Amino acid sequence: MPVLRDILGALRNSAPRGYRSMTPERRGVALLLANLTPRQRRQYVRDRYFDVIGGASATRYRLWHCFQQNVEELDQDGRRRWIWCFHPRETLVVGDVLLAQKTALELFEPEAIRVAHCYSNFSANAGPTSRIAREDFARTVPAPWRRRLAQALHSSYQVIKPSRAKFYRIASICIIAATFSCLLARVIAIH
Amino acid sequence: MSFMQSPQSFENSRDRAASTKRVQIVMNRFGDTRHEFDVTDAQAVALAEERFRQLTGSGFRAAALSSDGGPGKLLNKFDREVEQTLFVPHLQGG
Repeated sequence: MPVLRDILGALRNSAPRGYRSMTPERRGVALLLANLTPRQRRQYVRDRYFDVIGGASATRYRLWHCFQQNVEELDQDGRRRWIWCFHPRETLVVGDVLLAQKTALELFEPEAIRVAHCYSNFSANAGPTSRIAREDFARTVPAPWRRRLAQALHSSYQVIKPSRAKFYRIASICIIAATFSCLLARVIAIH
Repeated sequence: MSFMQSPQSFENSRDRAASTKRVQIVMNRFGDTRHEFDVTDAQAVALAEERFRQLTGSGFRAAALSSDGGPGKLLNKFDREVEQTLFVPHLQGG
């Protein structure tokens, strides 16, 4: 048995370490996803944000996948009241920034809000709705299988998509073949 | 067949082994750095306690992570019973 154990250990050591071989961005997102509730996880993967309840005030905050100006404070009807901007002093990847913001709002909300800057609207160039934020999300967050399937179908369709001229040629060949086969079937039926 | 264990005793020994493992997660620009230690190892515990003191002394906030993703607990002093401790750097307005 020790021999078997040694072989298994060697295989385990030589196998690529999933978590360790990830990029820092993906590691950050993996750590974040591991520390979200199932509901928050679904929300984040689907909508690029998740909701957090403030530990001190029970206020609902919406954390968007973005580095700055990404914390929305919502009212009871789910409408935006303010946008807050606070983040760790060190340079971190976006997954870690979101986890730090979630932890701060849940465990030391007054301190986080005290240092935060307040805004009334998202930044157009660097906010959560910007192209940079959307592309970063698509690059770092693993998509659900439905979206992956749709992307695969779309990209494979792009490869085999016929040009317009080719399409008309193929369609006319199909129509001629169908007409010819109908005529042939009638001739066979008559005889 | 001394190496064979009943499923129940195997589960118990695995749980015991798993329950002594602790991890300190420090956020940094590389994603994070994980420091694992065993609570049965006094030297490793002392090292973990020293790391906790140094990080919280330099502005990190320590939080005990919950297993279900819910709100954890803020730690003001080292607790060897906490399975996962997350160290969050000092916050600033942006």
